[in-house]
Amino acid sequence: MRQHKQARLDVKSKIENISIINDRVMGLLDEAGVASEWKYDILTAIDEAFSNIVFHGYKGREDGLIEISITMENNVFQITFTDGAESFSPPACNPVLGRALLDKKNCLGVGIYIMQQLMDKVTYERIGQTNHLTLIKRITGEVQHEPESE
Amino acid sequence: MNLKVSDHKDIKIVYLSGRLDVTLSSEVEAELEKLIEAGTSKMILDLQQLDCLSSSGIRVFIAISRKLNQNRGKLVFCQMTPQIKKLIKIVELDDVFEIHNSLYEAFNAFDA
Repeated sequence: MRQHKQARLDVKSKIENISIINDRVMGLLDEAGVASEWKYDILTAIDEAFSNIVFHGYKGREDGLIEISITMENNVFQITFTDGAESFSPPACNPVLGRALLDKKNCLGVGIYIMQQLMDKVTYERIGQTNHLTLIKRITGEVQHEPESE
Repeated sequence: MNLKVSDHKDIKIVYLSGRLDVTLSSEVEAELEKLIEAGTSKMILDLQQLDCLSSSGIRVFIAISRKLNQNRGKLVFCQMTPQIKKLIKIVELDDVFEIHNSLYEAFNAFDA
């Protein structure tokens, strides 16, 4: 799978716009012949990333701008979200998991944790007034339950 | 995302299909809560046709599980796909939720 495919789109910070991103990503992954397991990992991670930007970054405002760039090259899928929302601070400690989740009112940090577990690399940078969140997934031909850690 | 409900004796079986993501989780939660408010205390979530789940979907499962437990009810899952099982395992709910391989086994869970 050595083709280079890319896409770029800008969306407003409305949660419904996730479907626009998903459609574009699915199109690119389908063209590249990516198996369902990887597609769903990627879509779930995108859901987590976009939700965080909309609800925590832009605090639910629907007029924020989110730039998305997507590439698929040499079996590596990469998506970068760039937004002008507030600086993102990852939770200071590991999220609550397991039975304790049933006792907590919210599941703070679980989305980020899922993103990190499903993707091979998640990076965040604050450059000036913008956030840059990049998710990378290496697509292989075999079922891979333990992603390589960086 | 599709939600269908059927009855088996006093058990509500809810079939979820498609993707349970952030845009639909509130709606699904509201539908499941309506069932509980109408008197459902035994619920099976059949996830055979559910392709994709995010943390917002997991929050729905947690909220409904909590609500049923508070009303001395029970929530049971069945027929999770490998993708969904993987996610439930990531958040370590695989030993917390009652998960069965078949609808038949899920029914039997209420007889035990």
